[in-house]
Amino acid sequence: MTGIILKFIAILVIMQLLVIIAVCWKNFKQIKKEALFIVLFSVLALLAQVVSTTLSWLKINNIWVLHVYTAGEFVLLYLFYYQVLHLGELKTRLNWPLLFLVAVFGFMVYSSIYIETINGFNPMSRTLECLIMIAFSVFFYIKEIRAIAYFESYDHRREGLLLINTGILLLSSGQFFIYLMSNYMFYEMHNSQSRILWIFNGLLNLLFYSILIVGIWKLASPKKNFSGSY
Amino acid sequence: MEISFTKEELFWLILAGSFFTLFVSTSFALMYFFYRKRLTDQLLKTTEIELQKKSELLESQIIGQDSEREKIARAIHDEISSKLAILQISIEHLKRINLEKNQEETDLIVEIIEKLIASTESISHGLLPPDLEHAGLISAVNGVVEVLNKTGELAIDYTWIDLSDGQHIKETELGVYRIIHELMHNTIKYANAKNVRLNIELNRTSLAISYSDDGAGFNMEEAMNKGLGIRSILSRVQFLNASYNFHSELGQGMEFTLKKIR
Repeated sequence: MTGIILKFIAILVIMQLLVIIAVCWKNFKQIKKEALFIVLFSVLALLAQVVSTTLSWLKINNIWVLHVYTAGEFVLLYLFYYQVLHLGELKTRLNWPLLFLVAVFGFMVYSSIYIETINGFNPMSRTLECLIMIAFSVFFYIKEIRAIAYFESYDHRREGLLLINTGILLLSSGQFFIYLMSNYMFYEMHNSQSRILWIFNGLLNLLFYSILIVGIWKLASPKKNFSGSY
Repeated sequence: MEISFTKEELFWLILAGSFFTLFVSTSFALMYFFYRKRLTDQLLKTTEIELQKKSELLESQIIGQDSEREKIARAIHDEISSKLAILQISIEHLKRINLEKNQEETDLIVEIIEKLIASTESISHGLLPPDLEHAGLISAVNGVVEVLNKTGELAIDYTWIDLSDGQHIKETELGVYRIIHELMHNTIKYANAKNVRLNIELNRTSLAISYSDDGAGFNMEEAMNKGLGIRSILSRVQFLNASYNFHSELGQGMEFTLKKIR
């Protein structure tokens, strides 16, 4: 039963990602630069989901996909926050924010090859990514409050960015413990118990991509109407 | 001291930990959204008070501007145009008396005076269209449409229904005339449009216009923030106490409708 639920969730996630990509495709001209990384992230997530689901149906180990996906996801989400949090402004003579990105990416690759096994989970990379994303999403909330308090001109598309940020926060915080203990769940825990945790993880993904659909929709569709009466 | 957990305990620990972190982040996000709403509401209240003050100022500015325009238009018409006409008649009379002498010079003076009369009329009409005062909005707009259609740059499909029984409210019609003027100005200056549709429906209880073009269109929010004359149009709409709808998107032209209960 849990296996069927997991397969069902995987198909739903693929459908959600297709919806996101279709929305972006339809409104490509309206997509702003910062949202472009979310679009690329969705494409990457779709590819990873399709490959891992196919491998899973063929009963081939698909955990290596997670290693590749984690590094790609981190880079794209980091670049998304690099844009929206204006991290480029922090650079001095050296571009520290980009150096940090390169360092973490390098660590993830190194960790996948030399520290963690490619056919096992990557708890170090995943939890590190979750922590960085949680920190970024909290900074984004603070930045938004400051923007309102300082009367920055209102753009309803910012609501879209806010939703995407909320989705990232919920996903990262919900996945934190699961990925921290992922190797233990994989090797030590009863299959039925670990599947329940993966269903929880799958539901988190469904929630995240649902929020992402609304967020992308708001980002990609500028307000076309103004009306009122005096 | 080593703490050990059974598989069962660890399962519940991971599940509880995940729910806990999810609960904390959800609570944080919800608190943020509530706080944000409260802050936005407070700022909206302050902005509304400021807007109220601004609209009162704007109202008096529009009234003053229209009244000054009317005075200048009347002064040009009554003082300058009529005197120029007398001057033209006098010179033509002079030309008839001195048939032989200074023929070329008098012709030139007559030509200059004719141009001056045309210019002053044009300025005077621009400030206060005479048709608007005598024949009403529909006729005044028709005058503008005819001129623009003759240029060949723009094809304006102008239709109207007049069930007002000749009852004109000058202030309202002048306001609507200025809005149409501004819309046409925007179409010519920014939209690069080829076709315009304009419809006016006038009856004893209401006045409604719909205006659309097939031009470049624009991003509504950017236009609202940066100008494009839209703010000026909305100020007029506000002054008229009318309801309106603006619709535009890039590459799709624009549509504007207005309804005013008379």
